[in-house]
Amino acid sequence: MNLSRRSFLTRSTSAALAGAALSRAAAARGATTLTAAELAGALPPGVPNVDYRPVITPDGATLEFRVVDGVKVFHLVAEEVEHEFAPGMTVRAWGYNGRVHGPTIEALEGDRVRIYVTNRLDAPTTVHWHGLILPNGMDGIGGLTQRPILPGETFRYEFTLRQHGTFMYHSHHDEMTQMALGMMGLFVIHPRRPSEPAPDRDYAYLLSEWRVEPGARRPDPNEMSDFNVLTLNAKIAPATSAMVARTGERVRIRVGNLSAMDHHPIHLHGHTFTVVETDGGVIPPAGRWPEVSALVPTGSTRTLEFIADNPGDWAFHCHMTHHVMTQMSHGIPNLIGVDASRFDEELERIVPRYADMGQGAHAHGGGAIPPNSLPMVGTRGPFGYVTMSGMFTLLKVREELREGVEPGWYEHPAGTVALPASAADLARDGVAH
Amino acid sequence: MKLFAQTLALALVASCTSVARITERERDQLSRELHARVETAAPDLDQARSLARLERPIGRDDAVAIALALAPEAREAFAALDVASAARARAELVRNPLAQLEVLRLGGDTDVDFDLSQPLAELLTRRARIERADAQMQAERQHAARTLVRLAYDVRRAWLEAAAAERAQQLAEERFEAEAAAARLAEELHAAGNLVESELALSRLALAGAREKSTAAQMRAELALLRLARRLGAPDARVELDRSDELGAPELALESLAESAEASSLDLREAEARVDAAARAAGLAGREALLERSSVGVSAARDDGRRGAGLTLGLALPLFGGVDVARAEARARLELERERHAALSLDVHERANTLLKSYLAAAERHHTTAQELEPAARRFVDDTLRQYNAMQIGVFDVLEARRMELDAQEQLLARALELNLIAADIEELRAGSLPQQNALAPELE
Ligand SMILES: [Cu+2]
Repeated sequence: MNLSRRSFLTRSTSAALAGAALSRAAAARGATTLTAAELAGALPPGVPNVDYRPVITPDGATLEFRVVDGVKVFHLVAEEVEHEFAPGMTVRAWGYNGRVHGPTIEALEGDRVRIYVTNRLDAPTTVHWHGLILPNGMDGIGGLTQRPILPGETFRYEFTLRQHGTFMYHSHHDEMTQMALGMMGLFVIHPRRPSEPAPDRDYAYLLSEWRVEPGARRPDPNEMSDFNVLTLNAKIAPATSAMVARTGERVRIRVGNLSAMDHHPIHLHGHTFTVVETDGGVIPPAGRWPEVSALVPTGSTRTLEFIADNPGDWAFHCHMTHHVMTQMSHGIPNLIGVDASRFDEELERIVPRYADMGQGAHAHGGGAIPPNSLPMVGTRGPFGYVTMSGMFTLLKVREELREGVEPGWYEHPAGTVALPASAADLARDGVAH
Repeated sequence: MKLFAQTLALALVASCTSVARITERERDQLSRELHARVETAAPDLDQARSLARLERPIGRDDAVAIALALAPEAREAFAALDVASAARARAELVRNPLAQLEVLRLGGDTDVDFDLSQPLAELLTRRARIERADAQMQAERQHAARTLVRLAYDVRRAWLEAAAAERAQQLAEERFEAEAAAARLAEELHAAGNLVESELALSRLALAGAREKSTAAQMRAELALLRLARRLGAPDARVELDRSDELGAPELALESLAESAEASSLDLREAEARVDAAARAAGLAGREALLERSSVGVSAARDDGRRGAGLTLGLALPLFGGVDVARAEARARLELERERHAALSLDVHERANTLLKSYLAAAERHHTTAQELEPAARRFVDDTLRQYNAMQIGVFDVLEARRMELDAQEQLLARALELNLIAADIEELRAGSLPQQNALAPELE
C-alpha cells in the first residue's frame, strides 16, 4: 500500500463509477461502497495519507492504532481529566486517553477494528459506537447488549466497518451523567472508493453542552435546560482554533452533536454550503440544496461542503444566540433602558465593602469574579471586542497560506470595511443623520 | 464614795470617743476595699472632675469610676456607713449621770435633797456592748462595700446594654440604607418598564420594615443611654460611648468559681457579722434586762437644819420575768440570722454554678457565631458580589445575601451582649456581690 498522492486520487475517481452503481444497495445497508464479497471477506487495513486524507479535529487529536494480523487495534482509556475550556476555566471532566472529548477514531471503510476500552473511572461504563452498523453485542448499551465495564476492567470490542461517513462514540451507561461529563468522541470512516472528489481541507467538530457554576470545578450532570458552556470540540471561544482554507479549495466540515438537550443551527458566514452527508449516508446530489445554516440535531452528524471562494475571517457558530455566550445567567433583572452604572453605585450602599471590590461587570469594568469562571467572555478582534464566546470560531480564507502558520487577522482591501458615513455621503444620498 | 468616783472616771474616759475619727477611718477603709474588689475602678470621688469626664466619650471603666463619684447610691452607701460609725461610737459611750435636786418648803423650813446617780447598765456591760457594736459595724461595712460593688456592676451592665443598643442601631441603619438603595433601583426599573408592580411593592414593603426597625433601634439606643446616665448619677447628661473596646469575648477566670465566690462574698461576710452581733446580743440580753434601770450614786440632804450624805443603789427586781423574754427574743434573732446566712450561702453556690454553666454555653454560642456563622455569612456575601460581577445574579439577590449577613451580625451582637452580661455577673460575684437573678441577656430583636 504505497500509493502516491496522485495514484490515490486517480483510483478515487475510477472508484466513483463503481460506487454509483452500488448506491441503491448501499442505502439499504447504510452508506457503503463495498461489495457483498468484500464485506464478507477481509480487506487490507487503510493507510492514512495513502488511502485517505486524515481529518483535522481542531483542538482535538486522532487516536493512534497498530495493525495486528490485518486488524486495526485501538485502545481507549476512560478516565477523569483536567480539562481547560479556555484559559481561566478548568474543570474535572471525564474523557478518554487524557482528553476531553476523546480522540477522534479514524479508519477506512472495510477496516476490521479491535477497540480495547479500559475503565479507569470509579463508575461502570460502556462505549457505544454511534451510527455504526455492527453486531448487536458490540453496540455498547450497558445492561442491554453487554454488562457494564467495571472500574479497572478492560473490554474488547471488535467489528468490521461496513460503511463510511461521520460517526461518534460515547458512553452508553449512566449516559446522563457520563456524557454530561464529556465521555464522547468522533468516529470518522473514509470511503474505500470515494464517489466524489476528496476535500482539500477536512475538519471535524463535536458539539456539546455543559453546566458549570461560576466558581465550581466540576460540570453538573443534573442540569436539564440551563447549559452555560457550549463547546466546539470541548473548547469555547476564544480558545477555539480557527479553520483555514486557500481560495478555491474544497472544504469539508463534519459536525456531530452530542449535546444533552439541544440541537444547534450551525451557521457559516460568507459562503453557501451543501450538506453532503448525514450519519445515515451520502445524500444523493439531487437531494442537496444550498444553505448557510444547518441544523445539527443531537445524536446526529451533518457534513458540510463548499468551495472557499471568499477571502476573509468568517464566523462559524451556532446561531442560537445564548449558545455563543459562556456562563450567562438568566435570572438577573432586565437592565435595558436604565443606567447600569447606577446599580454599582447603589450596590455600594447595599454592601459598603463592594466599593473595595472594584466596579462590577454591569459597567463592563471587570471587578472580582468567581475563581475559575469565564462569565460572558468574548473574543478580542481586530476591531475591538467580539461579543461571542461558546460555539464560535473562524474560517480564515486567504489567497495565500503558509501551512501550519496562523494567518493572523484578515487584511481588508481598501474601501471594503464599513466605516462611519461622511457628511458628504449623507448629503449626497439624502440620508438624515 | 470611792466606788462612785471610779465609776464616774470611767464614764468620762469613755466619753472621749470621737465620731469623726471613726467615720474617717471607715470611709477610708471602704474606698480601699472597693479598689481591691473592682479592679478597674480607681475611685476619684471628685464630682466636678467626674462631670468633666462626661464631656468625652466614656468607656466601660470610665463609667464605673464616674458613677462611684456621682451616683447617689454611692454617696448613700458612704452615708449609711457614717450612720453605722456613729452607732459604733455610741457603743463606747456611757449614759450621763443623773442629778436630782429636790427643794421642799415645809412650813418655814426649806428641805434640800440632792442625788447624783450613775446608771450601771452601760458601765457593767461596756466591753460586751462594744464587741456587739463592732460586729454590727462589720456588718454595715460589708453592706456598704456590697452596695458599691453592685453599683459598679450595674453601671457596667448598663454600659454594655447601651453599647449593644448603639451597635444594633448602627446595624439597623445599615439595613435601612441597603433596603433604600434597592428600593431606588426597583423604582428605576419599574419606571423603565422592566419590573412588575408586585416586585416594586415587595421592595417598598421591605423598605418600610427596615425604616420601622431602624426607628425602634434608635429609640432603644436612646433609652439605654438614658438608663446609663441615670446609673451614672447624671440623668440629664448627654452620654457618649467610647466603643473602641467592642463587645468581644471577655477574658475570665472560671476555676473554682463557687469556692472563690464564697470566699469573697460580702453578702456572706455581712450575714456572718450579723450572726456574730446577734450572738453577742443574746449574751448581753439577760444582763441588759437586769441592769436596765440599775444605778449607783451619791445622795446629800438638808432636813430640819440637819445635813447628811450617803450612797444610793437602785436595782430592778426580776420579779415578772422580763429577763427571760429578752433572752428568748435575742436567741430567736440569733437563730434567724443563722438561717439567713445558711440560705445566702446556698444562693452564692447556686448562682456561681448557674453562671458558670450559662457562661460556658454563652461562650460556646458566641464562639460559633463569631467564628463560623458570621464569617460564613460574610463569605456568602463576598461570593455573591463576585457572582454579581459575573452577571450571574442581580442586585436583589445581593440584597438577599446582605440581609442574611445583617441577621448574622445582629445574632453575633446578641450573643456578645449575653456573654458580656454573664461575664459581668461573674465578675460581680467574684468581687463579692451576689448578682440579681434577672441579669441574663434578653434576645435583641
Ligand atoms: Cu446551539
